[in-house]
Amino acid sequence: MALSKILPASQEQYVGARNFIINGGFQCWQRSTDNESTSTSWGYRTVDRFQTNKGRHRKTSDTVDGRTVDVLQIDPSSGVYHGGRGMFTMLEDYNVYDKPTVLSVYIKADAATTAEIGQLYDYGASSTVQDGTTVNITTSWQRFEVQYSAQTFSQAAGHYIINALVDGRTYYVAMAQLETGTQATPFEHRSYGEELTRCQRYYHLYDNGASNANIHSGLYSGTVYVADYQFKVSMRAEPTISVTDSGGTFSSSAASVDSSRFSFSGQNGVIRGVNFDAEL
Amino acid sequence: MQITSTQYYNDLEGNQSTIKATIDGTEMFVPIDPANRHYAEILRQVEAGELTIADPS
Repeated sequence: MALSKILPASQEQYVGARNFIINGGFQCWQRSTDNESTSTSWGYRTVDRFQTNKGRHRKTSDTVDGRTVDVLQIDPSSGVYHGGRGMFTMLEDYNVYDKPTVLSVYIKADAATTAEIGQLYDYGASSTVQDGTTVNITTSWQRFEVQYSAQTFSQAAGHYIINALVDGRTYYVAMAQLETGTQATPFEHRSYGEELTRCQRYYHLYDNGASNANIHSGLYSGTVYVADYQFKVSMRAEPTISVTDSGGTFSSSAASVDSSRFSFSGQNGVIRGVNFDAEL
Repeated sequence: MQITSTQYYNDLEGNQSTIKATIDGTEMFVPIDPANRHYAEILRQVEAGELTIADPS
């Protein structure tokens, strides 16, 4: 396992879809751009495709490697945790691990400190494949790199991008990338639209808050309305549905990976604020 | 994942289509799909004897 500061951004001759981490640029924040959680469990709370633990996680930006990019700022909280403190992501396409891979990520903090990066977890076997590596973090951006040998997984694998954060420190994380090979290449910048579409396979939120932008329905019987909603992209699995609009009683639902049917009463035939969650 | 208040729900045609549950403090409708992580966790807790699912009301 090796850590190194790696290739300069000027060597951007590497092209193509290299980064297997979805939203590795932290561009998509459908749930919230600022969340302070007191939960002791991992959960999807802020930046898309990443689970976080207790503490405050929010969106900011900074110039990293000569380019202004989105950054995840983490202020970890003290107290009880479930499995650590930091962030991790899970990869549905576990066959990428058939060959050696390398994880890279930029990190800095408000003062010199430490953290772990790169723990690899096999959810099929419920076991750690590779432990995290402790790195020394400074107030300047550094790119860290962790190499993995070829692995065989039976289902989704999880990467702890950063973990074991120190209370009282503020951490900044940017541009996480997992790619095939033994050395990290420059970060692959993708457009917001590309990244959002990838994220919506796992989660999307219907909520633009406008009274004329509801999911419209028809009267089924009595005060019961029914609505069909086509997802923006096909989802990974039938999604869990939760409703943030509290204007009535959401009475039942049925879904596929492409669409959902709601029935509800007491909402005058309109509904808005619906979460569709098919995360790993 | 903290799961409480689980109950089967029928769709308008009377088919058992979802489980209404409170998950980490939020009311959710979980499809009966083994690929759904919430349903998989409900199944795990039921099999472990930690959770029961009420019949439809």
